Amino acid sequence: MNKFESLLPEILTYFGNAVLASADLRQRTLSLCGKQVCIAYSSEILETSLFKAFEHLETIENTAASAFRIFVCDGNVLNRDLPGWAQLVEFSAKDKKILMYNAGDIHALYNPDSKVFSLVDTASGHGWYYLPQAADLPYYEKAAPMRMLLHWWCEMTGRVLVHAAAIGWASRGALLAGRGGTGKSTTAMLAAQSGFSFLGDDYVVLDNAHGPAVLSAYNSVKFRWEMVERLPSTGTLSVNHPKADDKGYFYLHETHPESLVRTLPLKAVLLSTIERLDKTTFVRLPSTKGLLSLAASSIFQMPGSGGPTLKKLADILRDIPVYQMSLGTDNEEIAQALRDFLTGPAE
Amino acid sequence: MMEKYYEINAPAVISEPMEEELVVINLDSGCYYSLNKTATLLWNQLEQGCSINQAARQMALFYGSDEASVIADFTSFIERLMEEQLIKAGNGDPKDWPLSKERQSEPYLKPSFEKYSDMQEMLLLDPIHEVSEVGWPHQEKK
Repeated sequence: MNKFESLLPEILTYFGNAVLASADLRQRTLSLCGKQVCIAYSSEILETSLFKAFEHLETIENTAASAFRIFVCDGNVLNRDLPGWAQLVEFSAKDKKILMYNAGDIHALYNPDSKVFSLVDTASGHGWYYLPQAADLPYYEKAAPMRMLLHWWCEMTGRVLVHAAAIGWASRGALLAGRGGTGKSTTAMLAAQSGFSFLGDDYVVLDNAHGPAVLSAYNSVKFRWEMVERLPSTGTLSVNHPKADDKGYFYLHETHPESLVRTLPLKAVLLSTIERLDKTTFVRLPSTKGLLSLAASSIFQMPGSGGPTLKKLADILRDIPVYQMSLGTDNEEIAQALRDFLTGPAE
Repeated sequence: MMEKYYEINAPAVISEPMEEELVVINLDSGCYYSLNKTATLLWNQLEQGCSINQAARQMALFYGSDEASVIADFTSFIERLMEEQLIKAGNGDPKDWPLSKERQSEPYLKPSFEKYSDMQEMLLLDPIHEVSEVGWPHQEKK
């Protein structure tokens, strides 16, 4: 029997005991992908660290009706680590490998970099999130928390979590995709500051139930520290410091709440490049380029599903035009070019 | 001559058609590819259990091109697919005639792919890493 399978009953008992032992249990309910998700935190520090990115999706509803229930705790609740933790850490320490388990309705992932363990039972609609010390959460977990649980939730509901930013103007949504350093986050942040709708900076959800649509998951913006030169306001908004982390981040819910929307019809995929041109230009590309760009980075960052995710993405993107967006150098010109592009004739 | 058969290196290799091309991702290596139309047709033929010679014969008829040159193109292209570990040796079992027998008016192009290997760079920026779906704990395949 696989080692994890033999440990699973003990792990579930551990989480059950942790719920009972959480004197300060806090529950928040989200409307995520149009359905209720209830997240219970064992302590204030976990709630503070992990809820801000979801704050724009909070809903005041009956938590009993939630389709997905997540429990978040650290080792302090029971004053001991999860069963099998030492073996898990030792096993993954070599080469810092992620460990995964996928069998039937149960999926688990341990990330040695963040020391976060995520577990889901898709049949019962329960998820669990654990790390030894809440105070050790890395910045990227605070900016985009519970990514694997969100990925599994999307799979459960027929949606896809993708590695892309998304903005909108006049009810037309556009995905901004491309490798790091190609202007994706800068453009998304610039758009949010210029009156555009904002759906996400790094990860958004795609849905095809009623036509291609993009849905918001996180209201955070992650940025390279060099981006402050181009958008000076980002430096003052940042909740962390250059000396502490390799990227800065902040929450638009706190700084530009008016820009946040939960969903928009998806009208275009923009692959951004920094060309330092006089004017921002849009050039139509084959759809394959959009699928390549989105699928590879999404599948490698949300591992485990592979083929089904690729197929779902292809189905959503098949009729969505893809453009190379070569960015100009002037922020106002870029914003105006994006407005003109999104209000132009639909293809 | 001995017929050579191949199969897709699943589950590590996944693919999806888009327009007339094929997007292929190697989950083990982190590399991903776009195959041109001829390579996409060949990929389908291999999936259907065709040998190189069978595939080339069909393709030559399909495009009205010279069978010997198509065999040469396919042989060297399949070597590249093998080097990329996108396909592996398999057993021939042709299930269907994968190509239309109607002659194409467009010209035959050599099979080719574009390879992208930038994921490693991105993974270093946002920590993520080798994975496997086999179970946990287990050793990664070398």
